Amino acid sequence: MSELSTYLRLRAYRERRAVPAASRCHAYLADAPLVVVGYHLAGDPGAPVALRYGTAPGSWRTVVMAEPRNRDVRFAALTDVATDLLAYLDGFAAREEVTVLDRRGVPAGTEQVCPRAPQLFVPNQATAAWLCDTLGRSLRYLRTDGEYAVDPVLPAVGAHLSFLAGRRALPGSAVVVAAGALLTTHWVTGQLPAEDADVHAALGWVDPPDGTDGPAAARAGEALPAAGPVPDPAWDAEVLAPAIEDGDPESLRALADEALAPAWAATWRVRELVSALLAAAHAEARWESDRRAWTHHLDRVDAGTAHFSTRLDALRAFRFLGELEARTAALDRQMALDDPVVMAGYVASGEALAGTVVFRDHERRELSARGTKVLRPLLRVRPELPFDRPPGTELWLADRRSSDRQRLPAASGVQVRTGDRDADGVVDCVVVKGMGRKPEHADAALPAVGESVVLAPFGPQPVFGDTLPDELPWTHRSPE
Amino acid sequence: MYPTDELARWRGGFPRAALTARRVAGLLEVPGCARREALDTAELPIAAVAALLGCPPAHRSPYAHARQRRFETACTADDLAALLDPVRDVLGVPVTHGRIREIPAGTDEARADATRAALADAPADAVTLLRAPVLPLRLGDRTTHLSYEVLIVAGHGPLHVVEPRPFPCVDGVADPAQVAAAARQVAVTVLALRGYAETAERALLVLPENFSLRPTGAALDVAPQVRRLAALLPTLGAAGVGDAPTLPDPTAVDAADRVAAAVGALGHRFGDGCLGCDLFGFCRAGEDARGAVTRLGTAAANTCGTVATVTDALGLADGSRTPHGPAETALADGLSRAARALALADTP
Amino acid sequence: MTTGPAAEHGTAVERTWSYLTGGARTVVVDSPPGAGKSTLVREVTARLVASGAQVPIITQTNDQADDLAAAIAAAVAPARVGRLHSADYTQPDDAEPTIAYSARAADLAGCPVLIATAAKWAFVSGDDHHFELGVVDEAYQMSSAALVRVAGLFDRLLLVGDPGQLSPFTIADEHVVRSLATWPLDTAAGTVLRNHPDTPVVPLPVSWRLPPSAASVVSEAFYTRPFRAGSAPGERALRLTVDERDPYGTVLRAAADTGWGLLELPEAYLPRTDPECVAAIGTIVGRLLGSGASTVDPSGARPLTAADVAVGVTHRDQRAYVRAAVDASVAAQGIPPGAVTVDTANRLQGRQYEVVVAWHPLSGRRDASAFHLEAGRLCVLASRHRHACVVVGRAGIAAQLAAYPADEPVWLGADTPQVDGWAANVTFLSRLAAARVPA
Repeated sequence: MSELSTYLRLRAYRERRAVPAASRCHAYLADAPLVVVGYHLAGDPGAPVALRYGTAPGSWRTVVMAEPRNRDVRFAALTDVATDLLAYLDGFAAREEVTVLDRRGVPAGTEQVCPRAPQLFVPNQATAAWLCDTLGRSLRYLRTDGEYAVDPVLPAVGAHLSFLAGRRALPGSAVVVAAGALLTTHWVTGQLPAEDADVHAALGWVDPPDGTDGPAAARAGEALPAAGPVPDPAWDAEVLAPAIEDGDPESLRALADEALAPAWAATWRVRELVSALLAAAHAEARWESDRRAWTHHLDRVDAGTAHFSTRLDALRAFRFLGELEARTAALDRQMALDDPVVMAGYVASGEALAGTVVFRDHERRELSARGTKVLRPLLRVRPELPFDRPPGTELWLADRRSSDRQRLPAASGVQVRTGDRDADGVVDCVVVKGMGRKPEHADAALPAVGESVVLAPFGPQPVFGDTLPDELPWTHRSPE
Repeated sequence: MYPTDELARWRGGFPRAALTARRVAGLLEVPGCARREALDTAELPIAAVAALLGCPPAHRSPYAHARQRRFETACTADDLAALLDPVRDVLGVPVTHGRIREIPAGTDEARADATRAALADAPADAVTLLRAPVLPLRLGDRTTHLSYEVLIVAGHGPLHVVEPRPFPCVDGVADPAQVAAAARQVAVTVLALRGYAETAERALLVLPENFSLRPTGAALDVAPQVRRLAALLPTLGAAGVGDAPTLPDPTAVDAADRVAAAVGALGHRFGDGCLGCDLFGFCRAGEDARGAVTRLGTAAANTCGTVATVTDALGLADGSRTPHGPAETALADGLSRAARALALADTP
Repeated sequence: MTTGPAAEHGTAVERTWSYLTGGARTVVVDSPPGAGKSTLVREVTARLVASGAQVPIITQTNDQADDLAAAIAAAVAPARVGRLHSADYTQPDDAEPTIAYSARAADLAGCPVLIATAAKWAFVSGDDHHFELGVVDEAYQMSSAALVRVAGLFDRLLLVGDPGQLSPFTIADEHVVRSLATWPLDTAAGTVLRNHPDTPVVPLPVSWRLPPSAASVVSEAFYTRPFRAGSAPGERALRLTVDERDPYGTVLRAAADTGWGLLELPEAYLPRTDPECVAAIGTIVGRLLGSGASTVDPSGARPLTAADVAVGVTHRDQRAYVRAAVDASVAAQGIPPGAVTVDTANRLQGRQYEVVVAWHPLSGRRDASAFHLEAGRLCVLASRHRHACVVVGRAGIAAQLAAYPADEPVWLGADTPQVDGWAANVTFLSRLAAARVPA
């Protein structure tokens, strides 16, 4: 754990309230999310008990399975849910023509992309996994003919949920958002990290009601009905079992609705809290990637080719790993560049250099390896915190502020190589990229004396073609 | 056999709760916690103790319980018919039939003897289920007895443990935390069985397949857990209870206070793994009373090193506390860097 | 002598060669630290070149490729060695004249030996290039995901590597990968052994680097296939003159006499940049280089220089502090900054020194973590030396190990690691008990 996250946790504990770990909202917030909270039978994720869902805090529907272990009852109720879910998803089927840019940003044709995509908003990752991975898996193979035929909406919804399951595994995707994960991304509490998994407790730290404080609100949160997808054992014994015994769906619906109300309220409240933050600059670009994936998924559904494998094997596993690694690195980089509080973690650990430009020679030239004089401007930066990375460290300009702390647009791609430090700790930084070819270009691109800068270990996002072969090579297959 | 005199004294008026593999396995989750060690080695009813400490353990859902029973029935019906294929296919043990043997009621020693005899009779070509067996296990310098509702083994020379669990295996994937818990528990059984017969570290985990109750088998190599356990068990003893106040009779009027004093006097380790412990609420309150950095988790505690309280750590960060020694100096440097970096970021 | 270490090693090389000439599609050579892996690659390459084949070699890093290119260039001269590299690579200053450098495989088509990193090979098109037999160096550092991108270029593979090194690593969330996919981060060697179980495995039985004192400890703690030292006890010596009235002198004396020293600082929980450990390591290196030390082996005696000594650490921030402390400590002897190598275990893989000072990964921690327990990390630190290794750490490591919870997630169908980090650490620590010197 970095010193910054420990420091934040210590502060939260002393202040008896969660402290911000971010100053931007790093998740894209769609304007019409579908919030879903629900329970399944303990020990049996294939048997939903109740689902409460809707697109506004004050308007929802609660569907219960009056006998969750009875297949017919379960599928009848799930058909209701699936019909509503399909109606919601159908609202995002429209496409519009967009211009495709090539790698140099030159228009290279057009394509059809959904301008809006669905967003599932759930209380916690466990609910996301249950709804998308588990229910998606259990519904998508159901037959619509034969002895056990089900309504076609069930496998249709299973396919959509399976798409969301695959997508939500990717860092930075926002098609499925878990409120609990949003809390731990944007705030640090003063309790065990493991306790943060209870969204009610974590929300208590972040947003204690007036007249109380974080720890007290967390204790109160722990006492609320479980946020799902597994109900409290006591609720199972004292409420659910008698209600199922009675066999009255209406009374069960009322009881489940009541039990799920706190999770519903907490999920909406978390959305409200993060929407008060400025949107992170890269969130929109990540959402565009989600929209393209959604469009592609709809294309496959339309073409009847939306097949999902139970496990990614062979080449798909390698492609998936490559994509995960690229997206993990990209998300870390983008969050730091978008958000000064996230960047502070890199400054504190000494990986990034924050300081004031005290000297600049934007006309400086060096002899290159080929013997020609090349423009290599010099910046001297007085660090706010001692900087002790070895000379030769490569850093990129990430943030510029004027002497009165106004944020200035930072030219992208300005790369420096650190040199010696003087006795006061002032660091020489030779600009090696992004300064343009002429001194007047460098004058415009480089920070002036007196400006505050952050130089961070985040270069331009690497673009590599994937070199995976079309089929698995012989080393990875057993000989026939 | 009862615990050593010292533990017997410390347990006061509490009844003895028979040890189970599950409980001994729990020690592997929190090794080094003197509280759990003392409560477990003294064979105390931990739920009753926890209740007196203000943290009554949650009961199990009747649905989870019912599902487990149904799955166990699916495994054991028709003389274990559903287990034969997984044992053959996964473990490679050529079994042809299943057998069920009852261990008659009696003292621990008598049941242990009967269990030994039943295991000695286990045929190489059968899956054998024992009802209510008892296995001896060395804890520290004494022998205790583990009680089982059922114990299933396959083959003979070596025996393989067969462990049914009710959590699902969907497309070959099962919750790795639950599999790990099963592996720890199987490791206890493997070590205990080795007192009687050669037992393999390769066991069969039997889970419901996908969303059905159909048993499916997966191989479970518990060698790492057996190694850990073999290192841990001989170290268990009465350490720490010597100076602690004795536990009261649980029905005494002041039982709650006296239990808190007796358990609270024992050292403990607080960290990320404690959430599942029955004593969690009690220990957490203690951490809060001290303002301990361990309250914030293992990672934060590791960063803070020798500095035990949140107040002292933050004092180092803001300079109000003068660091003593190199450890505090290093921490003061790290935390004040964090504070200054954050202050820089805070400007609009 | 038919059973001596040289003969055993020679037999292993001949076995490898006979499997290759016998047509085995894959051959894996398991090489413990300093067991002559590079020599074997050089020898096999020279024989293949002599038989008229073109030999492509796959390394994991540019440094490894450069080292191997230099070694092989000397062995196959006047034949040219092609060093294929990426566009932003700078060639070493002391490059052999018989090595041809290019970023394009086509430019090097005439070279009988072609060396490049796996990352570079991945960009070589299988339409234009195809090879009968490829040689993979450090096949246990290479991931299955890297192998899948290059394997199609080759009909057969010789995979050579050290199974005790650090395994491939990913920044991706392991839980996500394992829940959705067959684990793609097996090692290249592991992949081949799993899919081609008939693959012959040739263990190199002798470590030429490690002295007998180290070979037995490292073999027992970190390897499933035992190996031994190539040198006999007493054949090598580290001679030094130290003042043994303090722990630094005592631990250096222990290391010189037994091959191991464990300097144990008082138990304390400290941030990972523990300043006392930093200072102690600086002092030890200063004392060692100021002790008039010399190493003796059958080739003769020679003075121990700064370049013969390395310090191994776990984290990059430790490296920054230790470098400064070591440089300051040896400055008085006129040794320039940076002359003593200080690096993380990761970057010391494949390197060799006369004496190594290792900062124990678990030192000063309150709780062990899976990262710090990884067997490969400690193994790398404990197996870089030809004469002696001084381990520096806080007391309390045994207690940390005892208190380490056995709560690692267990994934169905995944192989249990052959070497358990916890057990390796326990074994290593118990074997060092005799060399313990309290600070």
